[in-house]
Amino acid sequence: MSTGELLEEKALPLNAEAAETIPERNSGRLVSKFLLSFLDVGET
Amino acid sequence: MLLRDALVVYLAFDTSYRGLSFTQESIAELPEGTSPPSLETLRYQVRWVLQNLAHELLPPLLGDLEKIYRNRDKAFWPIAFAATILVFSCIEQIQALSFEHLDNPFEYVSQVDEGTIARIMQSFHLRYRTHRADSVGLNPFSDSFSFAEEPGFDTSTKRMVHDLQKIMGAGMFVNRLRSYLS
Repeated sequence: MSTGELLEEKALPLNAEAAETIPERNSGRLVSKFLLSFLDVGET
Repeated sequence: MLLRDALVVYLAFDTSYRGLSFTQESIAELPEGTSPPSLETLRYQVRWVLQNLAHELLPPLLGDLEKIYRNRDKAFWPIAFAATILVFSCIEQIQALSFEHLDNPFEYVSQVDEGTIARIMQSFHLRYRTHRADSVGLNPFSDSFSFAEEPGFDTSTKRMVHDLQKIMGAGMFVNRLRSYLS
């Protein structure tokens, strides 16, 4: 499988629903992702 | 400087989407005999200029962000944290714009998420560590984190973390975010 096909495959799950979840303007999706990443950073 | 630059890029993007309005003063400044351009033309031109400015300033900003991560000094943690939030807002704005300009924006969004965004987050969490011998990722939002045991944070940083903790600690909020991002 070529890199392009792999990327396309990765993008596929987005295609079905992302049109409704990615608006024209910034929704804070990436900032939310950054904040949520702290939940996986352990102290122990 | 980093935070100021990040704010400039963020404001350039944000302002590019705001509406324009004429004032008596701005109309008076037009040369005599010229008719004012249409609001649509002005809006398009201002949007174009501001978005180009933001695109131009973003790459050096990413370089500066990487430099401050490398510093590893916890005194810079709040600046790096706030600048990262602003940079992510700008990158998401570019992703949103790709829906106007690219044939396959989903592929682009996916590539940026898995490339640039993943790299920045990994770099952030790898560089900022606790001071302990068994040093692990520094996480002031964790329940087990104690400012008393982790020196180097000023009062305004503690206040910012406390305010964010109140939001992030709300289970319903986190669950909603998780389902939104999944």
